[in-house]
Amino acid sequence: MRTTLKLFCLGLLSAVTLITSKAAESRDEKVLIDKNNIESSGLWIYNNLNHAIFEAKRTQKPLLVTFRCIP
Amino acid sequence: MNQFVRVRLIQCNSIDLNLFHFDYDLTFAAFFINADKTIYGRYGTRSSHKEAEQNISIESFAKALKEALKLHREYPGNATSLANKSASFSEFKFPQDYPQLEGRFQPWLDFDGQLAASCIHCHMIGEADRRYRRAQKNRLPDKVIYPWPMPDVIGISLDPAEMATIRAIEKESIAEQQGFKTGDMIESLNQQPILSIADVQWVLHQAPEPSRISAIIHRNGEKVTLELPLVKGWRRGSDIAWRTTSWDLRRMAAGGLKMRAMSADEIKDSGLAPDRMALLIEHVGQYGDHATAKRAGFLKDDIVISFDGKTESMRETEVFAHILRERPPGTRVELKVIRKGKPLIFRFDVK
Repeated sequence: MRTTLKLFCLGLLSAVTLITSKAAESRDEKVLIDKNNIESSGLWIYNNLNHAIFEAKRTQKPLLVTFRCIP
Repeated sequence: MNQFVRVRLIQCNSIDLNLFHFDYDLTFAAFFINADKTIYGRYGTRSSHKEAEQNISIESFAKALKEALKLHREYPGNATSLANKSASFSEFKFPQDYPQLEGRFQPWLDFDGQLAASCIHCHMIGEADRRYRRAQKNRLPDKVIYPWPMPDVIGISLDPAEMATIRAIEKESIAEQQGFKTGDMIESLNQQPILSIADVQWVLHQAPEPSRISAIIHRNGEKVTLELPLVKGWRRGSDIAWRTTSWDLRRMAAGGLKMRAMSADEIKDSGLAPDRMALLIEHVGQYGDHATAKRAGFLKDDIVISFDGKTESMRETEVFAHILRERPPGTRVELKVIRKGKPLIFRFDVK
């Protein structure tokens, strides 16, 4: 029971810390974090349409282009 | 998804406006395109400020992706049907070429400096375009005032979990009169394949007034051909108040006032005449041109009962449209308001 309570408190503290740090991030920081996440995932080409068109021609694939700004 | 080359664009600096022509009030939009820039389809629809995701879903996005792949496999045999999925938006090629944005924004983002401040947001394109047109002192056409109409304006409510399946038809609407039914799947409009609600909006957005839109429908395993006649003024049932770009319309048309039409109960409780104008001022702009009405003397909670001679029941959207269609910048307008039961008159110049 005590262990469960400790884990709960630890989780709550982590959540509060996460929320506080998120709130503290400026919009610029959010964009840079997002950029890093997208680029490191390797799943998307980040903000480079010409490169994407080159890749689409090379691979004969269609393009999925998304517009999404960071709030 | 891995059958696509996926690219995420985070700003509108230097986007080709003649390719990326979409509803600039969206916060998420997607294009399915060929490397030669032929558009297979668009995705992304919004019709509410609070309920930003009520018209989109993972399910419908997945179905649209699948259909885009089918169109890609059939390309270029289907090129003719895709040709009208593109159309020029503006005489300016890039957003930063608009007078309102020129000099304020570079063609690229400043990742090493003021990053967010260097970004041309999507809504800025819509605002810059309206400002440019308004500066010509031309009357703004309905297409500019009411962009990207929802199909609801002609009586069709589409299922957000499907590409373009009708979930409800409004009684006595154009759609009902023309034979559209709940459950119909819209396959094409004006010969263009339809992958999403955004594709339906695109066809409506581009439709001249008056005109007729041809539709091919899937109904109970059969194809049915229908027509949608669009009369002059058909866009005017749309509500644009939710749009981010309407903030700038408040500056142009209403001196910075944010208003909402009062309910029948509120009108009754206030002792006002039913079926007449009753717009409650929810916010009075505080700075710059947005403070025009504030400087004229307006206060929050004033009730507008007459706007530039109009006294009939109107929504905020219709007030904007009246000014943008009928009153060039600099025109003085007179408003009658009720404040704590007493009538008052204020005047200001529209922008």
